[in-house]
Amino acid sequence: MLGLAPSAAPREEHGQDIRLACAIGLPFAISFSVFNLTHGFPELGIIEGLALLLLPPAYYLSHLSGRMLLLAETMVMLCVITIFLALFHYGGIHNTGIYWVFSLPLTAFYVTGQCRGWLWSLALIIMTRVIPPTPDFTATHLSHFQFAILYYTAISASFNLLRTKSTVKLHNLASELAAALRELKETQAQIAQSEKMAAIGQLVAGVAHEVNNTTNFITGALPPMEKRLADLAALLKNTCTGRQFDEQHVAKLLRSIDVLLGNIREGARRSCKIVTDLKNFSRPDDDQQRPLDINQGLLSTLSLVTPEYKYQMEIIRDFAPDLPRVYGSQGQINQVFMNLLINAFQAQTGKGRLLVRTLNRGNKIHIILKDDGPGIPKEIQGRIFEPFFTTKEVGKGTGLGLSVSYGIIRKHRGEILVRSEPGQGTEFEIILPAGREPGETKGREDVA
Amino acid sequence: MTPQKAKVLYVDDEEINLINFRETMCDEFDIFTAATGEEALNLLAREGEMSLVASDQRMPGMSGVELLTRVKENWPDTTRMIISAYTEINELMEAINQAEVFRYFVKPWEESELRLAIRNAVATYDLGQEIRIIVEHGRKQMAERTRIFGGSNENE
Repeated sequence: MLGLAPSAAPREEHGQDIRLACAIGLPFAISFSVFNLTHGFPELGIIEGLALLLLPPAYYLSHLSGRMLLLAETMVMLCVITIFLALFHYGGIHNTGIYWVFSLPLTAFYVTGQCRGWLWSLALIIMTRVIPPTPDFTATHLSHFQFAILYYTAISASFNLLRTKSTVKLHNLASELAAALRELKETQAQIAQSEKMAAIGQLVAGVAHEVNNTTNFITGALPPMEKRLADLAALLKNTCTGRQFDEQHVAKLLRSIDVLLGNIREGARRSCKIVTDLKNFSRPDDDQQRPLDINQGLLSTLSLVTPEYKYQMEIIRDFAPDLPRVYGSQGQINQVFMNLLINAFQAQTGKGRLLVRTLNRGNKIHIILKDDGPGIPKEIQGRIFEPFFTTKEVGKGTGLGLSVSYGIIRKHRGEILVRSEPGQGTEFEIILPAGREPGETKGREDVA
Repeated sequence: MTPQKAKVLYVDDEEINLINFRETMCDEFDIFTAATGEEALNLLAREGEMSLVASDQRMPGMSGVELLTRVKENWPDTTRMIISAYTEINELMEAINQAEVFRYFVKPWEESELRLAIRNAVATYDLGQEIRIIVEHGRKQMAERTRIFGGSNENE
């Protein structure tokens, strides 16, 4: 009840309290000292002058921690109690100086905290019984005076208790908030990671089929090629043994070999292209920030994602040729493109068209993906960026694609907008700040 | 007289696959190729029944399953086969349940396996034809007998 229990008050504010007391106390102590020296109380002025010398080192020590802080606190209190007891003893001008003593409990609780505040205040009361008061102070005055100090002590204690409690509450709240934020960030990172894995899984399935196809160009051409070569070898042998050279047959074999070689070449070229696209899509230094060519990113992503849907969707590309670079992570930006593309493809029930357009608007670039699918119903348009919100069948979507995309675009200081009319298709617009470095863009708005 | 080569139609929208298939199999079979389902149906209508129609699954316009379902309706004796790079479960199910394919081949194909599968498919078709001939022959004989004995029965 008295607040004697040691509070869990944050100690980092302790030093601040000491410094505040020093800053307030020093000018008063100086003016007391000067006033008393010039108004006929030289002893008082000298004591005050000596006592205030404790304040500057206390101020300095308050920046340190542990025992040094305790020392600083004690020095401040010693200064205060010395000055006040001197006032009590010498009376100051017309005895009114002693009223200053009443401010000691407040200072004590403020500077030393709940527990030692009581000790200093009680020490003051004890000292007023040990040190004789100013001569015209009667015994009645003295007991009134001591009661008053006790009263001020109690008031100061309760005020300080409130202060400590609310500070502790604030601190607990702040640390809870910090913990919650940390947890949220971790979860967000995990969500982003799992979404990325899901996206990569989807990509791998599509790419594997494409690789199977191009591999077939090569492996399918090899057996007939071997056969033609064997035929050719047999013919050559026959020619050596004196049979007639069958020019027509050889020409036919050579033509066939040429065609098969062409197939192998094309297969190898397409396989190489898939690997290049994959490398462009996601690099090992994925989270590194660097200047990005958005058109290139769109091209790579399109060529990886579209083969699965090539008979379903006609892609119309309209890329701005002079697109400035955007600073960010290629892998993350491509992940956004992929999410939006896959959504557009999967939303399309029949055959459709998809417009992919980039625009250069000075310090901003715009990326527009516009499909002619069924559109997004008005009532769910506000929810599409929510995590785990999905309209796809169970197991088909995580409900994280758009929410992760939103997070990525925000991280790149950009915006992602959606416009959709049911039956009229959906248009996603991504706006990203241009610039090679984060600070380079002029007049960019800070997204809080 | 050399035995006539079996007619095989292969449908794929990638020309390279068509060439590879033709070059691989032309020594043993009479290969026809088409790039789309529509083209394949036209060719079938022109050239008549084939022993085997093998098709890619994903193509512009008609899908492989759609094409083979049409083939099944019009030329039920023809053996049907899918050769696809995709192994989506619903595509597999459609191929089996709708088009009733003889084999589902995955690209890249293994030449010897594919050749064996085509031989089997052609043999199945031939067997079907033989059975048909035998059955028809049997029916004719039955009809003959019915005519003879039926006539005598009437005479009794």
